[in-house]
Amino acid sequence: MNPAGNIGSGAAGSSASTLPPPQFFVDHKKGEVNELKQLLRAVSLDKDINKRRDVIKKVIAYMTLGIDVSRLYPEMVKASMTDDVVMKKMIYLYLINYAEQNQELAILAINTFLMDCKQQNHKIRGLALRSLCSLRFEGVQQYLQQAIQEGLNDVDPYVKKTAIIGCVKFYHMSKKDFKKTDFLDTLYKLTKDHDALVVINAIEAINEIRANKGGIDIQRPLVIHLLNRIKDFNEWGQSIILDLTSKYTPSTQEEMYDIMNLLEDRFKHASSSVVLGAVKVFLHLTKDDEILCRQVFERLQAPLITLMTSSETTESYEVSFNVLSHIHLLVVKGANQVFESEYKHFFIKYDEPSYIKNLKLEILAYVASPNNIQEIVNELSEYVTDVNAEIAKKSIKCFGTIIIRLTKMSKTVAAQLRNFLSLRISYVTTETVIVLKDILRKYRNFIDDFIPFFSKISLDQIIEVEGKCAYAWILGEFGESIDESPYILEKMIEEQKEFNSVKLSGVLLTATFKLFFKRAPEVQRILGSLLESLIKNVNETDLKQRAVFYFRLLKTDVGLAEKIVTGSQEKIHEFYEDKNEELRERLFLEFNSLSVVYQKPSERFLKDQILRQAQAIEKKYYSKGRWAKSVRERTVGQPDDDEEQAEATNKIKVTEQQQTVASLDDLLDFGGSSSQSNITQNSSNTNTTQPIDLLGDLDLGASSGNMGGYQPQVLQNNNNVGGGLISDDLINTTAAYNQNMQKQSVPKQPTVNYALDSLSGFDNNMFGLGKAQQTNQLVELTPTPDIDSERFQQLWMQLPECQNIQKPLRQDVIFQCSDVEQLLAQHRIYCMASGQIGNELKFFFYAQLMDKSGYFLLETLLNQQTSVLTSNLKTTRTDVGLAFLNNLYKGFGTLLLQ
Amino acid sequence: MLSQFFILSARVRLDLGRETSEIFFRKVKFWKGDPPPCFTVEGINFFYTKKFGIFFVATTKHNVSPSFVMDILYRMMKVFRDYCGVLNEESIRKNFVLIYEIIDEIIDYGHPQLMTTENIKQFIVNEAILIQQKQQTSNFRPNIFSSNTIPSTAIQRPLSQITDKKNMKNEIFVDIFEKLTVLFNANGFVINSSIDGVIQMKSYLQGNPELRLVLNDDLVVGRANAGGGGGGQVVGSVVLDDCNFHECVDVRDFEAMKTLTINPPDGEFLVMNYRINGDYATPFRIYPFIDEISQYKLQLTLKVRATFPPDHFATQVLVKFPVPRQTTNVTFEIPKGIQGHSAEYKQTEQLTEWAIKKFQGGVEHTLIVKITLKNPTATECRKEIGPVSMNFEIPMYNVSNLQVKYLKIASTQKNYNPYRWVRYVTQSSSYVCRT
Repeated sequence: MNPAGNIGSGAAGSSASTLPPPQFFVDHKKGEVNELKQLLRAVSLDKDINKRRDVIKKVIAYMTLGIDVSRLYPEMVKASMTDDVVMKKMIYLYLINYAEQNQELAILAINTFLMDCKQQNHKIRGLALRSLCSLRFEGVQQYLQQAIQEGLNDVDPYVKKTAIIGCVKFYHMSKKDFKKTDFLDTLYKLTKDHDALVVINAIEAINEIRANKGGIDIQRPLVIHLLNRIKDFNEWGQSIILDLTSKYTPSTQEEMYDIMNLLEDRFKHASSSVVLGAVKVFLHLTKDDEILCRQVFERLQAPLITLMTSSETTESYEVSFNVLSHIHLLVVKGANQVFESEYKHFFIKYDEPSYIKNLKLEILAYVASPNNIQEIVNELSEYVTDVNAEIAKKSIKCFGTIIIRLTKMSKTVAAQLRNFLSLRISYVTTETVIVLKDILRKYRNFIDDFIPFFSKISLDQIIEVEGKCAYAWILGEFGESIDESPYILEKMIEEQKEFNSVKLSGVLLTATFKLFFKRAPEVQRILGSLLESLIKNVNETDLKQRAVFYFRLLKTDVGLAEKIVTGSQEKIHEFYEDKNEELRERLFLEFNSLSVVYQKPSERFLKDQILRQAQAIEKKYYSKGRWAKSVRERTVGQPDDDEEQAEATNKIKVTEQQQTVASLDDLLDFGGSSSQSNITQNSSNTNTTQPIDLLGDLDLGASSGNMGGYQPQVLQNNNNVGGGLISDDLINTTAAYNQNMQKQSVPKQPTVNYALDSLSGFDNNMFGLGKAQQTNQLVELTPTPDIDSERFQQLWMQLPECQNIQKPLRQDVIFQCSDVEQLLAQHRIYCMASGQIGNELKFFFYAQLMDKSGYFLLETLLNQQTSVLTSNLKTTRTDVGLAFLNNLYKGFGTLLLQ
Repeated sequence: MLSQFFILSARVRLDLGRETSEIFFRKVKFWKGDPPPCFTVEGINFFYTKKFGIFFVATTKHNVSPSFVMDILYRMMKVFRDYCGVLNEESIRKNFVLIYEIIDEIIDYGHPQLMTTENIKQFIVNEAILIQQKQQTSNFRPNIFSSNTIPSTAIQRPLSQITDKKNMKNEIFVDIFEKLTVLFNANGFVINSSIDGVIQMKSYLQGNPELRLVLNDDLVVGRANAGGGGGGQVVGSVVLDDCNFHECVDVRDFEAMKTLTINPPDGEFLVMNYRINGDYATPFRIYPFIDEISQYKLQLTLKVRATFPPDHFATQVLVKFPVPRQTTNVTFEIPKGIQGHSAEYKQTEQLTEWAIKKFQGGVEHTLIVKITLKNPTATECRKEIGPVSMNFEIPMYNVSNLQVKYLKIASTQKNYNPYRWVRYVTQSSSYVCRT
C-alpha cells in the first residue's frame, strides 16, 4: 500500500472541516503503535470529541493496513465507555477484530457489550448485540444466550433481526448449547412477524440451522402467508420466498393456478434474481404438465430478454451473463421455438466480453430453425471473418451444431463451410475440418461436396493437434474418394516423425491402417514403415502396443483384419454431448443457481458438508415426480440427518470398504494360488476380459470410435490366436516390452489378472479354457434367465434328478459364498439362495438356455473340510444336461482339483 | 449466504481472508480471455464485478442464485456511491470506516440485511470525506453509462449531507437514456435494430415525497397490443416490446393513464427498463465504398450522414474499422475546412479511427482512406476491411419518442417547488455497418 500523499487538498466539508483532515494512510514505522498508545491515553479526557474520534480512526486505519495494533486493547476497551456512537462503532470494530487474540481482555469487552444491549437507544442495542455475537471464542456462549434471548423478544425489529442472525452465530459456535435452548421454536414463530426483515432472517436462520435436514419445513400456511404479502419484502426477501415456494407442492390444481396468478407480475420486476426466482417456481409447478410448461416458456420469453438487454444497457454484464446462461438452458431444454423469433437479440456486439459472446453463439445454434436459418447463417458467417479468432472458431462450431441439429437444412448450411475452407485462414480451416469430421459421421454422403477441398488443403493450413487428428480421420475414413489421400497421410506422418503427440500418432496409425484396405498398393509401404518405426522407436506403451496389435492382426488374418476395420459404417444420429438429457434435467432442477452458469450439477463443485446439505434439500423436496430419478442418482450414500450420525455412517462406510479390500485380498490369494496349476497348461489361459476393455478404451479415445465396437468380436473369433496376443498386451502395459514376439507362452505371473477377472462382471471363458476346448461341449446360456424363487421351488419339486456329481475341491483355498456366486455368475449360472453352515457352503443355482428353451437347477454343496463339491442337477432339458455340467465345471474353474 | 465480501484494487484491500483474495486475483489475472463473473475454485464460488478499476468480490461455498449475489454487489456499489458521492479507489480509501459501517448494515453473517440507502441512513454515523474529481468524467451514472453529457457538480454530492444542511437544493433528476443497436448490411439496409432504454432518477428531494411520472398517452406495451399488427410500428404511437420496473414503482395506473407512481428511494435508481425492436429512424447512415486502386492499394470512401434534425448535434463521434493484416500504410483525406476532425491508424490493433467532435444533424461527412498493402493481394484483402462501427452520443434527443409529460411531486408544504431536471440522451450501443 502506498501512502496516500496529501489527502488534505482533496477533502472538503467533512466533519473536521476546521481541522486539517487527518492523514490515515501514512507510512508508519515500528514504535508508532506505542505512540498511538500514548495518544489514546492522553486524549481520553479531551473534551474535543473530534480529536478523540481521530485517534480512534487512526487505530482503525492501522488495523486495516494489517499492522498489528492488538496491544492497544485495554485502552480501546476503556475508550468504549462513551456515549458517542461514532466512536463506539469504530471501537467495536476494533474489539471484535482482535478479540480472538486477546481472549482474556475480550472478557472486558463483553461487559461493555452486555451493558449496551440494555441501552435505551435501539441502534446501540442492535449494534452491541451484533458485535457480541461476532465474538468467537470458548466461553462466550453463556453471555450470548441470555443476550440473544432478550434480543429475540425486543420490541424493536432492528434488534430482533440482529438477534436472529445471532442465533445462527450461536448455533455455529456450539450446536450442543443451541439444542438446549428453545431458539428454534422462537424462530419458527418469528416467521410470522410483521416486520419483513425479521421474517426473512428467521427463514434464513432456520434454513441454515436445519441445513442437514433440508432446511425449513415448508408447510402450506407458511407459503400462503408469505406469498400474500410478498410485496412487503425487498428483492432479496422476495427471492428467498420464491426459492421457498419452488420447493412447495400445491395440494390442488386450483392452488397451483392461484400461486401462478399471484406471482405473474413478478416477471415485470427489474431484479433478475426475482424474475428468475419466479421462473423457477413456474417451472417447478408445471414440471409434470408439458402443455402448461410450454405456456410458461412463452410467458417468460419477453421478461428474460428484457432482463438481458437492460443489463447490457447498463453494462452489468454479470447479470446479463446469468440471464443468458438460463436462456441457454431453456433453449437446449425445449424452449428453442419460443426464442426462435427473438434470434436477433443473440447477435453479438463487438464490445461485449467474450463470455457473453460465447453464450450468445451457443444460443444462436439452438434457436436456429427453418424460419430464421438464412439470417443466422449469414450472421455467423460474418463472425467467421471476425478479427477475433476465438469467436471465429466458436462460430464454425455453431455451424456444426446447426447442421447436426437441423437434418433437413443440413445440406444447404454445410455448403457454407466450403466458403470457409477457401478463406485460407489457418484457424478457420482447422476448425472447419474439425467440425466436418463430426458432420461426416452423421451425413456420410456429404463427403462428395468436399472432396475437391480436401485435396487442395495445404497442410500448413491445419494447425493444432485436434485439427490434424480430424483431417487424418477423414482421410482414413473417406480415402477411397480423395485421390491424394495416401500422399497427404504420408506427409502428415513425416511431419510427425518424432511422434510427439501420442494422440495424433494413434489417429494417424488407425487412418493409415484403414486406408490400407482401400488403397493397398499405395499404402502398403507407408503402413509398413509406420508400423516399424512405431514399434521400434516409440516409448509410449499404448501407442507401441497398438502398432504391435495391428501388426499381429495383419499377420494373423488379413481378411479378418479388413472385416474388423472396414466393417459396415454405422451412421451416428445423435452425439452424446448434444443429447445429455440427464445433465439438463438436473440443471433444470437446480434452476436459478450456479449450476446453470457452470453448466454442471452441484455435486461437481460443492464440497463436503455443503454438498450433503444441498442433497438433503433435494431428497426432502424432489424425491417424487419428475426429478425423482435425478435426485436418487445423485444421493447415493446419503448422509443422515445429524452430523453425528453422518459421521457414524462414514465410519460404517470405512469398515465396509475395508471389508471389500479384505475380500479382494482373499480373491487375490485365491487367484494367485490357483494360477500355479493353470500356468503349466497354456499361457493363453490367462486371457482375461480386462485387456479387451483396455484396447477398446484406447481405440475409442484415439480414433473415430467405430473401431471400438469390433473389439469383442476379435476375441470371440480369435480365442486361440488372439488370446496370447492380448494377454501379452496386458502384461506389457505393466512390464517392459518383450521384443521377442515368438515367445507367446512364456510363463507369466498372472496374479493380477485373476483378481481383476474374478471381480469383473464380464462374461468370459478364462478359467478352465483348456478343458472347455477339449470337451468342447458347452451350452449357450442366457444372461437374463426368467425364473423367480417361486418358479424355482415349483420346478425343483417337479423335476426328477438328472445328475448327481461329486468333485474334489482344491484344499488350499478358502472361499465364501459370494466368491462362488460371482464366479459362476460370470458364466451365466446365477444363485437363487446360498448359506453357510460350518464349513459347508450351500447354494441353489439356476441357469437358462440362450433360446430360453430349458432350465437348469442345481443344488450344490461345497464342503471345505472334506474338500468335496457335491452337486445335484435337475433340468427340463436332460439332453443337454451333461453339456451343462461342462459349463458348471468351467464356472468353478480352478476351484476344482484338476 | 455469503462467506466473504471484499473490495480489491491494485492498492486498496479492505478486509478479510487473505488467501481467498489471492486465489481470486491469480485466477482472474491469468484467465484466458475475459474471466466470467462467477467461477469456482476448490469449493469456493467467486462472484465479482470490476468497476472503476476496483474489484468487488463476494464468495460463498453454497450453490446460490448468481443474480441474488450480483444484485447485492451492485446494490453495495450504489450505496457506497450514494454516501461517498463518487466511487473510485481514492474515495473508498478515504472513507474506509464509513465503508465498514455500510457493509456491516448491509450484510450480517453473510445474509443481506438493510439494503437501501435510506434504511441504512439512521445507523450510519460517519460522514463521507469528499474527494475532488480530477477531471470532468462521468459521475451521476458512472456505472450506468460512460456518458460525457452534463456532469453537474450537484450530483456528486453524497446523500448523507442532504438531511442536515439547510441550504441544500431541493431537486430531482430524471434521465431518459436510449442505447441503440443497429446493424446495416453493405447496401445500407438495416438487418437488426433495437433500442434499449431506461428511465433513471436521482432524487435529492427532502422527505422522499411520492412522485407521479406521466409518459406519452400513445405509449403501448407489447407488439400484440399495438393494434397495427404485422409487427410494424403504429403511426403516431410509441410501442415498447417489453419493460420492467423498479421495486418502488406502482404500475396500477400505467396501462390506463401511462402514469407511474413512485416512492423514490434515496439516491439514484432505475425507474424502468424498456426495449423496442424493429425499425426506427436511425440517426446516422453509413455508406462505405471500397475500390481497388491497384493490386497494392485499396481505397475506402466512408460517407456518414446524420439524419436527425439540424437543431441537434452528436458529440464524441468515433468511427472505427479494421484494416487488412497486410496493411503497411494508411493515409487519410479528412474533410477540408471543418474543425474537429481527426483520423488515426493504430497499427498494433489493425484499426483505423475517425473522430468527429461535433456532428450537426442533417449534415454529411466523408472520409477517404487509402490503404497500402504488403503484397499484391488487394482482392483477397478487401474482405478484411470493416465492419465499420460507430460510437456517438446525442444529447437532448431520443429516437423512440418516449417522453416525460410531467413529473408531479406530491407535497403538503407550501412553496415547495423543487427543481426538476429532465434530460434525454441517445447513445450508440452497437452501431455497425458491414462492408
